[in-house]
Amino acid sequence: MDTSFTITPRFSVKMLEKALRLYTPSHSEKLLADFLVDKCDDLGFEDIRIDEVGNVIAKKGSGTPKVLLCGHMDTVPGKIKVKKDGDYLYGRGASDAKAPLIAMLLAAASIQNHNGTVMFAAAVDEEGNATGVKNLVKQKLNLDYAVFGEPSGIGNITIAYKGRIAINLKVNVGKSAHASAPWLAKNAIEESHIFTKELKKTLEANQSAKKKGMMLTATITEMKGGTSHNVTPIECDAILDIRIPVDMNCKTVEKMISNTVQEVAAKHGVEAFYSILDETEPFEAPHNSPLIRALTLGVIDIERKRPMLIRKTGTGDMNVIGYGLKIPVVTYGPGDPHASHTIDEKVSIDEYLRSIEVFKRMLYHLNRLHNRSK
Amino acid sequence: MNCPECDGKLNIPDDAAVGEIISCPDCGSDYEISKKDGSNIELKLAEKVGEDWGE
Repeated sequence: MDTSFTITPRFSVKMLEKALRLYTPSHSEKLLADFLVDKCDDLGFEDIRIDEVGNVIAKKGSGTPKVLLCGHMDTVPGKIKVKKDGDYLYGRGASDAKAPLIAMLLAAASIQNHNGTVMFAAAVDEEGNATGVKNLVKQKLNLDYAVFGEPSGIGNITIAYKGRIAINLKVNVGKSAHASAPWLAKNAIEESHIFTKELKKTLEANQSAKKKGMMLTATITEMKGGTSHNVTPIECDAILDIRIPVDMNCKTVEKMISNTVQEVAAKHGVEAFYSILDETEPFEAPHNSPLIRALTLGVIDIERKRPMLIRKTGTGDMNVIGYGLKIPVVTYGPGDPHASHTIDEKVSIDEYLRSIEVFKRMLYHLNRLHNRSK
Repeated sequence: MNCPECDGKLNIPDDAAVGEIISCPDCGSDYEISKKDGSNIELKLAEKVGEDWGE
């Protein structure tokens, strides 16, 4: 591509609109992947490829620092008609996360050789099992920093996510009884309730002085038991979703779970086992890293206002990259995070366009700050 | 410049901009640069890190 090619706001909006018209729920990202490969080629990216799981990866610029700008191509299912209404562009993935993805791509396109290297990645399956990001971590990209494109709002930088352990707790009481004589057998659902209540109590104890972002939380998300309306249940499966703050880790929490389950089982004479369904460590980027400083300066340059640094109570792909590669990672992008997955998903066109400029300024500052700190 | 909280030495970069946050390496207090006129810098205690739900 001719490097003097100018990316106009009209071009940027059209490109997002085209990306929204491609319906790409998880595991059906190919249309958008092909579209992005084509655009990367037009915009002068190098080493453009689609990896074995379907991620698009491309390089722009050269030299240090090497920063990953990573977004995801998939959306939650459910088509939304693509339309413009005033300043808003509607469509599935408008905020989560095609606007952040395309904004990062267009910002990366502006980087010239010797001003740092951008690895642009458009991942698959973020809304599913994070297959795309997990595969990126394996690829030894030798990164200094990474930014995830997710809707944080232009004035917020997400610097931390909680970790997560999900367990399936199986309680088995050995025998059942007729519902008219419930005293003849223990009831697996009722026993399971004792376990989950005790687990929640233990895990959430002594935290009244803490803010929600720094609390260990546990909640039941599924409970299945019983085979008939008039037979007491022998077995019950309960799924607990446990979120771990950045000052704790999975190992400590797992020990608490294990001790509690053993204690309750011994006390009540009930057989109980648990299996771990998911284990993700918490992650927080160091506040004094050049990455947070560069992005903060980028927001100040464009918005004339300091961004708010945010800790999220959820768990994101940022955990996988940050914890796996031990590099500073933040999440940032245009759009209202609370509008994600809703039926009127939209993004402000003006905010989207401004976010491209924020990303460009971030890359400029990151190059300056990183190379100065060496 | 010293930390108003613990009197530790603050490392303020020469090119620091108004609105930036400076952390005290000794006590961890965060300050926002509220005014900058050449080498004259005014600080105010920064808002703490915010929080939000979701992913």
